Amino acid sequence: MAPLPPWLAVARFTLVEEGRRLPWLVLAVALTGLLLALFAGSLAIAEARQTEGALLAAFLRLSLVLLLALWVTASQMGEIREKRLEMALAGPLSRTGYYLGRLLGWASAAALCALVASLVLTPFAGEGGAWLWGLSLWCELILIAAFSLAATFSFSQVPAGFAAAAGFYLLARTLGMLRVIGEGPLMGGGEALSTRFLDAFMEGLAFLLPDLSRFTRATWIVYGPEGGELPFILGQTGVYLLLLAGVGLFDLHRKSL
Amino acid sequence: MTPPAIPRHVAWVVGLGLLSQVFFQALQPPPRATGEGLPRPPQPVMLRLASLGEPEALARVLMLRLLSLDYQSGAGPAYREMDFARLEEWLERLLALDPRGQVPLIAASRLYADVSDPVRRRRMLNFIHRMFHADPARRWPWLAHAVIVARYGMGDPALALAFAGSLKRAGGEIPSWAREME
Repeated sequence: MAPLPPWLAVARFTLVEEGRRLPWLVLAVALTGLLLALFAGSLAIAEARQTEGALLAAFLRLSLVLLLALWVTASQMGEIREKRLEMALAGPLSRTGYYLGRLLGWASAAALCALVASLVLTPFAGEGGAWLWGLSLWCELILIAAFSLAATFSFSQVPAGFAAAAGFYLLARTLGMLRVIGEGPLMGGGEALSTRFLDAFMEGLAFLLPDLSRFTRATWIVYGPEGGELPFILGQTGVYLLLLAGVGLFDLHRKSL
Repeated sequence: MTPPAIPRHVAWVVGLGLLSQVFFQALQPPPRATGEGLPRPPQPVMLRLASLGEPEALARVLMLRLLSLDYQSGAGPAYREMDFARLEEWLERLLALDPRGQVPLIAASRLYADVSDPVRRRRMLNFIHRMFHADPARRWPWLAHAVIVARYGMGDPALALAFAGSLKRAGGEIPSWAREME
């Protein structure tokens, strides 16, 4: 059998290294979410299955995003701290090849997470709901993994890298809502300099962040899938992944090893 | 030690990625509130459970969510087209979560009671009246506002008198000018 190209070997190594431990953690998260959702469903006086599905979907989405962000950050910091990054680059592997290999490995690990989550959700979802939800979760996890990977080359500590990833995620999920509220009458004094500055700042930020509020919605589990969102999700993932890969590569090439 | 030079292809990827992201977002329609799809509020016990012991925080987050659903920044369905029965359920749940919170009553009196549909307007004013009795000392300003809306906004002196009568009977910490609106 022909040996794998170096960048593909890095991807395989990433998946195998994390593949041993990550699925167990994902299963533990899924089981915890399942128990919580079943308990909550038993309290509901109506629409128990929908309640369980909605809560489980929201719980899995947030937990897996945070878990993967922490996992990627900690693992990549380990690569740098234990000099495995230097060893990998000492061979015929370019920095770009290394980076793309890691990214591909994490994207595969993200697929595993999304697959487990959508399988757990399937009994609570209508036809096709869990698969669209799972596909969208995969896209979301790829983006958060790519961001975390890029952040590890900018920040030299796990807490700082993780905080940056969590902040990015929360902002990307709430920015749409914040923009709508900002345009509403309760903001008052729409002509005030501070309000106009805040509005302009949020509008500018909206150009730079992906709109994650349209991804992986629990409503697809409760009320059925909305296939119309799929082109947006795939397009946004592709475009933002390109940007994140560029930023990560820039930081990796800038780094002195 | 001088850091290595950035290869040209990396700079191209960053530039292309940034341009694509800005272009992609520019193609998207602005976020729009969707009042039609206001879901039914969860049961009070579920809300308590979901608050993880911080009902005031959850009430405020949910209020923000509710406001984001009904604000309309441009063309499209406005919050006057919302299901007000469901909206009232939401506001009541949020007040139950955080009884000292004023935002649900502010929203009811300043936003929702300001719609042109008299049926929806009356529903909101009656909601404020109903909620007033649970905590007159804190909630009297919104009922006083409701008196004015009923009298001058809706031209319904009977409704205004009923609200003013409640203010008068509540007494206590309500200022005299508000008690004498009748």
